[in-house]
Amino acid sequence: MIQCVQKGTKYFSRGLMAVLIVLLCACEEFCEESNRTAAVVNFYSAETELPAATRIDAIQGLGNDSVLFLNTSLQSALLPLKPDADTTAYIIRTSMVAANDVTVTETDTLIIVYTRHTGFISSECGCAGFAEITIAYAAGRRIIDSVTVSNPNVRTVSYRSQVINAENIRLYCR
Amino acid sequence: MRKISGFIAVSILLLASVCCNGQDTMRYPINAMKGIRVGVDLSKLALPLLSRHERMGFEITVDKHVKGNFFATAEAGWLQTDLSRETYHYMSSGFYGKIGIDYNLLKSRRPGSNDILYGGLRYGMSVFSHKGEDITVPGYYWENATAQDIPQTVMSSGWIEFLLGIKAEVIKNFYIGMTFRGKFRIAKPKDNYSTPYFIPGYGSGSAGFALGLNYYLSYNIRF
Repeated sequence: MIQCVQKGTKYFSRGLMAVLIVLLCACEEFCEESNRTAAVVNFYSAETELPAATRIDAIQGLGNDSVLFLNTSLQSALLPLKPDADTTAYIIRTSMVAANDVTVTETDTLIIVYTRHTGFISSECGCAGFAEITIAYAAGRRIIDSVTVSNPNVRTVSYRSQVINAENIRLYCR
Repeated sequence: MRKISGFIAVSILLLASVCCNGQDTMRYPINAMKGIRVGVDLSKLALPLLSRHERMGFEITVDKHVKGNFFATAEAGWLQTDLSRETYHYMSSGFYGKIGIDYNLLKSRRPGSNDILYGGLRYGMSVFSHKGEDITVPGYYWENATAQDIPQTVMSSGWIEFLLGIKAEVIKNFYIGMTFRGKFRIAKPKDNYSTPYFIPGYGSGSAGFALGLNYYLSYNIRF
């Protein structure tokens, strides 16, 4: 009986040691992934069909008071899609000085239509709203010559680094 | 990498602690165990306490001495997860089963003993489902919004386990035992948009390698 107790105690203490080591190895408490989803939009030249940076005065979501991009040259942009709607529209504004020194402002609206899906990322990060783009087109077509959907799957993106996801939409600009 | 290193370190500790005892003592072959040994995993019963009542489950194990130092073994269980947070409510549950073989690594220090230190190999498979509701997703540029529920999705997964374990007969026909396992996933659960939180019987749904620890109470049914 004494031997059984001693044996049990010996194995229990070793088991406790192992549990402590496993718990130390297994602790994960921080969200190391991203639950932010946005469409990756790349700008191309309509003439050469090659990637080309485009001078942009502003890109602003239709219905949003905040400007997403302001006075910048863009070759690629991350455009977040509305998580509670099936359509998101962005107003794209550029301006140029004409021959008679008059500044001309051009405006186009990029409209993205999609189906929404929800996915579980992790217990720390929670869920994210994914999208599958059905169609994307431009209204106005003063800046944008044409729009193509190169990859309809809109996934999570990380803002800590450069754009790392596959391109979703191509904008061919005049 | 940390988990694999931890698995190797604990395996070495377990082997060293048992192998070094009584090096000068005479050794005897293990007594051929009659009948089958049926056990329950006590660590699964303690899950609600260890996981703040977010997980619960049970696991039973059956093993039988086959020949020489070999034991055939089977394990089966069920696990349920319920995560309730501010921005989501996630639920999953499922069953799992494992079959494998154990090999006794030591001879006993006393005649007629059935205590063993063993290495084992398992193939495990799980069928489970998950779903989510009451989900709020960040809009970042847009306002946060209530998202669609994650529909109930059934998935499956398979893996291989390498393990070290001990079983000691504390009272006639009653055994306590412990195993320490390294698990390698070979079949990933398929879901286009979600990563399952937990695969029953395996571990984290996002990990290709997982560690496991079991604490068994078993009874030898002799026939």
